[in-house]
Amino acid sequence: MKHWSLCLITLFLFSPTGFGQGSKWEKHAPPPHTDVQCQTCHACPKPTKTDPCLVKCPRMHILPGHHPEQTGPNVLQMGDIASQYGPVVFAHKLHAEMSEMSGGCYDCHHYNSTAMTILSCRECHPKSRARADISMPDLKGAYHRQCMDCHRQWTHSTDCNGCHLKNEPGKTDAEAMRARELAGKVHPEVPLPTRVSYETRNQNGSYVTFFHDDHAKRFGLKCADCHKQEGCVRCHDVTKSKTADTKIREVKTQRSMEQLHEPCFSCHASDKCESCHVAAPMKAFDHARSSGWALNRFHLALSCQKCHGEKKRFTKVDTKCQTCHKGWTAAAFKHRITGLQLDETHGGLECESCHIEMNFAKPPSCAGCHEDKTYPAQRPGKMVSTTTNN
Amino acid sequence: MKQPSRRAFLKTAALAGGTVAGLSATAKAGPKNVLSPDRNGVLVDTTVCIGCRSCEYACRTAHGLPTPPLETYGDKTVFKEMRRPNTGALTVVNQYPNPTKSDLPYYVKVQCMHCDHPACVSACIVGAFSKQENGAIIWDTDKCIGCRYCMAACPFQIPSFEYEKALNPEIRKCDFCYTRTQENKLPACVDACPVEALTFGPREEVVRIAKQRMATYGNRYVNHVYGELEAGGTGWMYLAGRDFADLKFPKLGASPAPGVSEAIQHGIFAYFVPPVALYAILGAIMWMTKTREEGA
Ligand code: SF4
Ligand code: SF4
Repeated sequence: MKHWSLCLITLFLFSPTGFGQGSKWEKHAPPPHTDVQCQTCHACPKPTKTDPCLVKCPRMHILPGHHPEQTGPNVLQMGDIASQYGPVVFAHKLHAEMSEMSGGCYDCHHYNSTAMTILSCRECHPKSRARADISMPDLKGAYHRQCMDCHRQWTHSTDCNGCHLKNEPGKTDAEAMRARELAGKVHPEVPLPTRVSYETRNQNGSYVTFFHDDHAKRFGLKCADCHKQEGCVRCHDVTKSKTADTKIREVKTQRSMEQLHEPCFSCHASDKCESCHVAAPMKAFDHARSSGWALNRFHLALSCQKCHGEKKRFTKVDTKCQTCHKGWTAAAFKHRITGLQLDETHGGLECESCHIEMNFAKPPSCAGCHEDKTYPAQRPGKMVSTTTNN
Repeated sequence: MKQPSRRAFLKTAALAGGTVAGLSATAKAGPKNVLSPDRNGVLVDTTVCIGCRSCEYACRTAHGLPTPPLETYGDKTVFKEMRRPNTGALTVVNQYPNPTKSDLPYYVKVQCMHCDHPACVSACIVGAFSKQENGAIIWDTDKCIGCRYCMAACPFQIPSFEYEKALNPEIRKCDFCYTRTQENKLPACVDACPVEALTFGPREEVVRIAKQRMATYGNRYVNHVYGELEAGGTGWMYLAGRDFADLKFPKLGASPAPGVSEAIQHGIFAYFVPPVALYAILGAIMWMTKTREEGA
């Protein structure tokens, strides 16, 4: 014990700005941020295991990591002004689910202790507005700042009664009802667009077509990979369909060139402008058009990553069977799997006889033996059902 | 807490300063103009304000002014026009567009700034105006003769006059909730604000907090605390997300500039005009002005 505290003092004296590499620290999981000072978390100069004297509100982002949203509370009731209003029912889980694209849990739980406990608002924000330490808002201010920034954007209102129900005789059950209603609620699934086409000011090609479906489903990107700081008003705006107050709405959000391109550039940084900016909106992604190889049946069902590797930049794959099908041999291959069962004459031929240079991306050629035949007008066998696999 | 001796010394010094600054002639009547180190201030963070106008409601209620029901304050159409504080509303909130986030316009609450070197106090020829230890600029209705020099002198055009009243019209403006603060309560608006866009505390502390906020959330604010230095410093100070000129804040230098008003006052007293004569002259001026206004 003595040795331990001695080590702490030494570290405190000689390394106040960083957690040293000293072996004794192995017992203390190093905080994820190296710029955390001892005093940020410990109130006393000699913290011990029994008395770590942890600071209540460290005022620093030291949340070690996300916990699954299921472990957070479902619905909270805040009844601090019970004399005038019934408790405010806050659908915590519903908000946590939605927060992913707008800053996540940190948005509200901006400072936390190292002890893996998530601090609630009231643990740091004092209840009284008249107070000596005015460096952070009081509880009322903290709550409203969090709620109102989004809610006033989509309701265009600052009315109290959206959240607060006035105490009135006979209305006592209203909050309980609201709590029950919100308890089991989950955020409805967001309908994803298949394709979005943007008209830009690029003079050489004004259209950029974004294949949302491909990116989200085929390439396996997560929503927050692109939608990093998305406001709730992207979807929630009660007046969007109505004629909005033009005085407020005429100002368009200005985003710099960098901000606009940022989501694309994380993968497409080395692409030329012309690969996205073209004269007309693009058609849906077509493997045959883009790569020259039409996918059918089995290949069509595969995810892109299966052949092209993980997300981010996909690499071009050659069309040799062995590239993916290791150990593939012509002898063991049953041609009927392609939907064409070769007749006896053709079944004995080498692949190259019809598939010139073993390039399966090109249509087969009959010219090696027949002067008057072409594929697919004439077929070297019969078509079979491809829905069964034998 | 500060040592009483130091505070007493500073008060005397401030009083002496005030006297030199042009109140010698009225020294007997002694309008209070203290610059106490303990004076309070308020930081208005216009990037936090949501434009709910709860402060307007609270202010009217606290001052016994006719107050429409709270529910009507949600009406956003009032923002179509720029409003100024007047005799019925001692504070008002105006809306300005936010060029980067159109859904989150900026709101600016306007009221008396409670200047450190108040032009109104200097201008008031009968010593009705005073600056109190807690920072509030208040006035004594019984002393006020309705000359409206304070209105002319104020760089922020704050004091208003009950023109609509024929009998006993009075000067009105925000009084920093002097009665409430004497009872250790917060100013009504500060108390009511749901988002604590208004931070009340010792002025020195308020300035420190303002700078701390700018340092922590740099890209939220323009690099300026309006009122820290303007007109010699004001009790109410502002933080903003866009240029203060765009939010209709007057561009003022750092020197307290009650210039014109002091000149008037000095002129009158320099010739030892006795108070009775003064009232006669002012009465005549007022009568003339009034007739002209009615004629117009
Ligand atoms: S803002 Fe005007 S009325 Fe208020 S203290 Fe300053 S000079 Fe006086
Ligand atoms: S009460 Fe606060 S948030 Fe509402 S308008 Fe006044 S200063 Fe702004």
